[in-house]
Amino acid sequence: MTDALLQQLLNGLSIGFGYALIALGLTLAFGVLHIINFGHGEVVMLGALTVVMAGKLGLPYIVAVPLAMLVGVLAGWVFDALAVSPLLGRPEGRTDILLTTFAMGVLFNQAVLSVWGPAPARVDGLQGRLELAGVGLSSQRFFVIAASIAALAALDLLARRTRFGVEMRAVAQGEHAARVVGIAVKSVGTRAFLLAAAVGGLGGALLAPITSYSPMLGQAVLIKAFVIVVLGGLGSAGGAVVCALGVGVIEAMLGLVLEEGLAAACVYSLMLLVLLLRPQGLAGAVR
Amino acid sequence: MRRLMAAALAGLLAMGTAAAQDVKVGVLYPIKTMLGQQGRNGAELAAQMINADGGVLPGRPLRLIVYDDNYQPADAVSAARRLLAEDKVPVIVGGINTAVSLGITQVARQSGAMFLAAVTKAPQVTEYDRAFRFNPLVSTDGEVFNQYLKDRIKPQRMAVVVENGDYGRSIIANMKAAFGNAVVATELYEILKQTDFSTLASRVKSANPDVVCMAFSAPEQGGSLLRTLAEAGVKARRCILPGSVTPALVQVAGPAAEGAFTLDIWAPTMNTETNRKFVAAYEARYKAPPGKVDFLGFESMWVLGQAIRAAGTATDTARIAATLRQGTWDSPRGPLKFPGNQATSDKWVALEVRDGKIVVSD
Repeated sequence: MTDALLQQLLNGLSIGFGYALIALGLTLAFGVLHIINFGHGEVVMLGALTVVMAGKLGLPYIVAVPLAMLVGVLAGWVFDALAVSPLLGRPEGRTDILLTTFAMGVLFNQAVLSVWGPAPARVDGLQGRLELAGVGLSSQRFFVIAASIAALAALDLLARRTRFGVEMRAVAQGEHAARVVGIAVKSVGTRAFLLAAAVGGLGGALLAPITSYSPMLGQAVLIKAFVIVVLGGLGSAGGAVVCALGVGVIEAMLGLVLEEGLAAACVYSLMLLVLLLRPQGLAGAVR
Repeated sequence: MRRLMAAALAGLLAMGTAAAQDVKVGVLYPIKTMLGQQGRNGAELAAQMINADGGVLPGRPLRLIVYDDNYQPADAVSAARRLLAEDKVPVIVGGINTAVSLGITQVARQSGAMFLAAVTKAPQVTEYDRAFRFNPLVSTDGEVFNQYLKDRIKPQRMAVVVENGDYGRSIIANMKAAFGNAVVATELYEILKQTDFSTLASRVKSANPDVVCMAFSAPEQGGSLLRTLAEAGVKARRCILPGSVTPALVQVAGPAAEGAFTLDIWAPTMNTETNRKFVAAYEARYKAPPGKVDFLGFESMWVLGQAIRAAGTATDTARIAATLRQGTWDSPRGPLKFPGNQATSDKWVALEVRDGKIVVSD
């Protein structure tokens, strides 16, 4: 029984770190720009598609991962130029952005469907499996955990130690005050959005070997990421990460005793409870 | 939709056919999805082969008019109405999901048109005497498959993993009825929404089965499921219910699909003359091996061509339907009959994934 618990803990952590990367992109955009990017799932999907394409060209998976981040940034740039920046200045712009980013997401999805078709594809990722005392995890799942921790550490460093990071946090705390002290709010916002997209591309590249690539991947991962972001408190990076791990582990543990569908329903019930009792999110106050 | 029509029109102009002479047939599939594309590919290949062989009636080739049903009954009904009213087709071929197939059946019944339900397993379709079903019913699948399991595999401890929905739950009920206490675990996963199967795999492993039976409609999920089971160290034999072992599944699952077995009405390696012709022509035209839906799309059109030829009419749907019901027809899966409007062949094939290929295991 302890073996099963340990195994589920490991499974849950690897799922949770995957969720964290997707949720982080959402929460970054919300934290800095105060927008919700409904097209973020498609950026994730493009990241996954990139590692599929790179594999077909014979590139090793490890090389394809940074490429996927680059593709994420490119997609993010298109999103920003067409669906975010032009609306930010408008009075109701941030509400409209819900719809414009959704529309861009549909456009990207249809573009992928018409160019590459609806067929799913396998991504091999890292091979092998690490095992200790009957409990084990595939190398790819360990890689997801390690790469996520590295990415989160890098983001944390960026936010604390670089000029851009400080400016980003300043804009997040108060756009007007940031502008008063001479921060180029618009450019900081755009860069934060591109950063979020890079994280999304990375998430797609890391998850693809586990979930398999499909053009529907973006929609499948986005809903769970939204739940996590709401649980963690919109805009709170720390909250999103903690809640992502929490949701991953809770789902895995509940999975030992409940049907998967019921386990998922429990997570959604948790979101409902949090929204009712603590609308700022579990970590909302510590931001 | 307008672009689609424009594209279809451009295609027709390019072919330079004598439009007035053509026998028009309506085709409805969710053509923006993989399965829909496969159905359409199969239908178009059949029409091409029929036309290369002189068409259906003297000097009259088949011409397909393809619309998108988008898996939505509303879209299917309006497309079917347009096919019958504006394009004046006597026969509609296609339909993958139940809701769409029932919608098309309804419209066809209202105007006395014929409907060849190529892929759906919906039992209600054949309540209309000019509607024919090509895929077997779930209950038929179950009977044939359970018998095969009992005779050949003899499972002692079975785990059943299916999608959470009507289809999946009916499979669980069926398996429990047939195997009783030998079913030691039943697992449901969410269709399309579930991307990670590690928890499920752990549960299957702890049930310690000797056979895992699975059904899935999305190959990406089936592939991930097989890979995750292998990853978790589940050693049980992989049994997959009829219809889900496809080239796409084998592609997505990779080595994890090795040894998985199923039973089906058709396989690309089936040894009939028509099947060899079909597979060769398919690979030449689409540069990939055909899957089950490609086959059903092909078969329904291929049989329709023969029925129109035999009936000697492209407009008298009552006569075409009666001819179809009485005759024995050539199909890649062997001689085909339509008792009660259900396509029936004698032979089911046992299939196995070996070296990344789907092969007949007998």
